[in-house]
Formats: sequence, C-alpha cells, structure tokens
Amino acid sequence: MGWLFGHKKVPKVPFPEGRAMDEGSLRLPGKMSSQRVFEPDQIKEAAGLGRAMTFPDEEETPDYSVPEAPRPSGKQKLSPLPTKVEPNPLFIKMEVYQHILSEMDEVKSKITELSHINKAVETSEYNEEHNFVKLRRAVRGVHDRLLLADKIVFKA
Amino acid sequence: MEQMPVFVKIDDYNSVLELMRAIRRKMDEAKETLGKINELKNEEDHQIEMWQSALVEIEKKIEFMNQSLNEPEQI
Repeated sequence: MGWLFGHKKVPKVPFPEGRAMDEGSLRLPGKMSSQRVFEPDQIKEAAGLGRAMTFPDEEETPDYSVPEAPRPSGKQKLSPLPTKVEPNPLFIKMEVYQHILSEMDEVKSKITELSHINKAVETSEYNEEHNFVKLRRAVRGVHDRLLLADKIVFKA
Repeated sequence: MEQMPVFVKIDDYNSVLELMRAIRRKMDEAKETLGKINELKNEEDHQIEMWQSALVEIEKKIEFMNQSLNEPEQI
C-alpha cells in the first residue's frame, strides 16, 4: 500500500520574510486620537446653529404654489382638501385663475339648469299626484259598482 | 423673449377653502338625497307595474262577466 498512500509532498514555497518598518509603510494607530472625537458643541458649530439666520425677502421669492388641477367629473370619490392651511397669501397662475373662473361660470349655469329641472320635476310630481287621485277615484267607482252588481246578481 | 408667468394674489384664501369644504359637504348631501329619491322612484315604478297588471286582470274578469251576462249562450 505504500504506492497508494505515499508520503505527502510538501510544496517548497519560501516563507515571507519580515521587513523593517520605514516611513512609507502602512501603520494602524494603536490608540484613537483625541482629535477624531467630535464633541456635540463642534457639531452644532459646524451646522451653524449658533449663527443668526437670514431669510430672503418675500418680494424676491413669492410663493409659486399652484392649486390642484380640476378633477374630472363622474362618480369618482373626491379627494380630501389639504387640512394644513398656511397663513401666507396664495399666488396662483393667471391661466389657472382664468380656468377657475370659467369652471365657476359653468357650475353656475349647471345649477341654473338643475333649478329648471327641479321645477319640471315638481310639476311632474303634481301631475302624478293628480293622476293618482283620479286613478283612486276610478278604482273606487269600479269597486262600488261591482259590489252593486254582485248584490243584484246574487238576489236573482 | 421668454414670457414670464403672471400670478394672481388671493389674500383671504382660507375662507375660500372653507367655502369649498362647505360646497363639498352639500354635494355629498345632494348625492345622498338623489340616491334616496332614485330608490323611492324604483319602488314607485314597481308598484305602478303591479297596478297595471292588476288592472289588466280586473279588465279580463269584467269582460268575462259582461260577456256572460250579455251573451250567456255563447259560453
């Protein structure tokens, strides 16, 4: 069996030799320097918390916030209005403003149309009620006469 | 020359927003009422259909009675 499990051959690779430390070699610090530790005051100073805050004038940068685009009509669920209301005045684009005005005119005309429809429905309801009264009267007449006929037929 | 956008300032837009909320509440109310009216109308239509079928049946019976009384030999 010596031919199968013979002696293991050890590769002849030379071991690395140690080198003397010179100026260019990499060194890890043995202990953390005190300059690498940031104190809270230093962070605050770097963030500028101590400095006085300056804001640009309102005239220079007006609020360009634009309201939401008009929603399409239909059976869609209306999205909730923004609850947070800022005290600043609102600036909207002229085109959006004109669009809002035209939409408002259309809404007004639709409401006028609805008012006319309402009157027509009221008239129709009145006519319906009138016709129902006539129908009730006619059916009562039929009923009375049927009772009379019944009495006459059964007498005979 | 590039056209600069023109803005319209709305001072009291809080009240406008409040009005919009009120309008939307009223819209919801109107939709709910319209739904109820529609329901009532459907029910009314159903009752009217029943009326119609009852009237047709009564008419048939009266016609039969009329025929029986006027021309008994025909039956």
